[in-house]
Amino acid sequence: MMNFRTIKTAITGIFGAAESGRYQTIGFQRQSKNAAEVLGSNRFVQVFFSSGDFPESGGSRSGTKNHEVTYRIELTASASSKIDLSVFASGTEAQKSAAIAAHLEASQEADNSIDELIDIVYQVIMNNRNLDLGLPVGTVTNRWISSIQKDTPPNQGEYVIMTASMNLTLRTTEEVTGDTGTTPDIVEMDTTIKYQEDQDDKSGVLVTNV
Amino acid sequence: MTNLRERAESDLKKTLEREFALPVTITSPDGVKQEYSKNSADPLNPDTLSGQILYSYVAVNPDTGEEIIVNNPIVSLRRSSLNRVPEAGETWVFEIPITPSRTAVKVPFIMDAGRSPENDDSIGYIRFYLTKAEQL
Repeated sequence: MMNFRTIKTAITGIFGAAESGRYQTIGFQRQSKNAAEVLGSNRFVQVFFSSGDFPESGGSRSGTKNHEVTYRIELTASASSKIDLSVFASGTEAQKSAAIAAHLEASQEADNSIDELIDIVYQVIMNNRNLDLGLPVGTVTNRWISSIQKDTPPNQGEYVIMTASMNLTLRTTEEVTGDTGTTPDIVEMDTTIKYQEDQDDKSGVLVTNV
Repeated sequence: MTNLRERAESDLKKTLEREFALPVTITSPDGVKQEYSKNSADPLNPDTLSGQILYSYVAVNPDTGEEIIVNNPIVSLRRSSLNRVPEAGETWVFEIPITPSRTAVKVPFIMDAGRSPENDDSIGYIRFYLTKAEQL
């Protein structure tokens, strides 16, 4: 297995171990998600291999190849408005007015939530303890969050959705072992024919690809 | 000759407040609740405040290119049926049926400064993009 796959598993494991109920880690690129899935502390941290460069000067023709890898870390959070709903069934106008004045705006909640998630994720991955991402020393070098991008929230929907992304870059080396292929299922080709039904004499061959 | 815009506004009674309409309750920032239409002909038997509610889903495609699906309730009300018209920047509580049925349970939503309403002053209706309200 190439190192970029091993490293992705290691990064996913690090995020998974640090969750503590604050977010959910997903180690692949999901095609779609629902805003209700990422509400409150169910925020998503999605890690996947994004791109890789093999500088020709960084490897030998028959030996290891330097691989400059970029992983994308996508963060998703959503929030609803918060208000004291208990007064709306039977409260006075003054109580309702006070509840409305004290409500928490969904866009502010979502913005705070995604900022907190950016903080957590950055601190987890850039922690010195994770310098080698838990892999043997030398497997990973130059681990670096090169950019953080926070996106514009859409202006519709019952939840306010905020997304952000980080580019995690690092360098590793890849061995070219060649593709070993897969072992096929056993196939038997039995072409034997008995001369006569009541005799053991046969013609033809039995071939098994074991 | 009838002014066409006045005609269009009076037609809102049919297009917004009749067959496809659903009951809506709104509470203003000063806590005043409105359940009945200001246009009610009989004060002793007032019409319920009603409007069009769309319960659509939208697939958001932000800068990342990923899709996030979100329920998107949109409420359209006739301005002349409102005792007070919500303004951008205010916070109002809306209670709308959870499903498109007049008898369905009403659930609370919020219009606040994060979502401005869209006015169509030319024929007199107003559209709200609401966020879900949960217990503080």
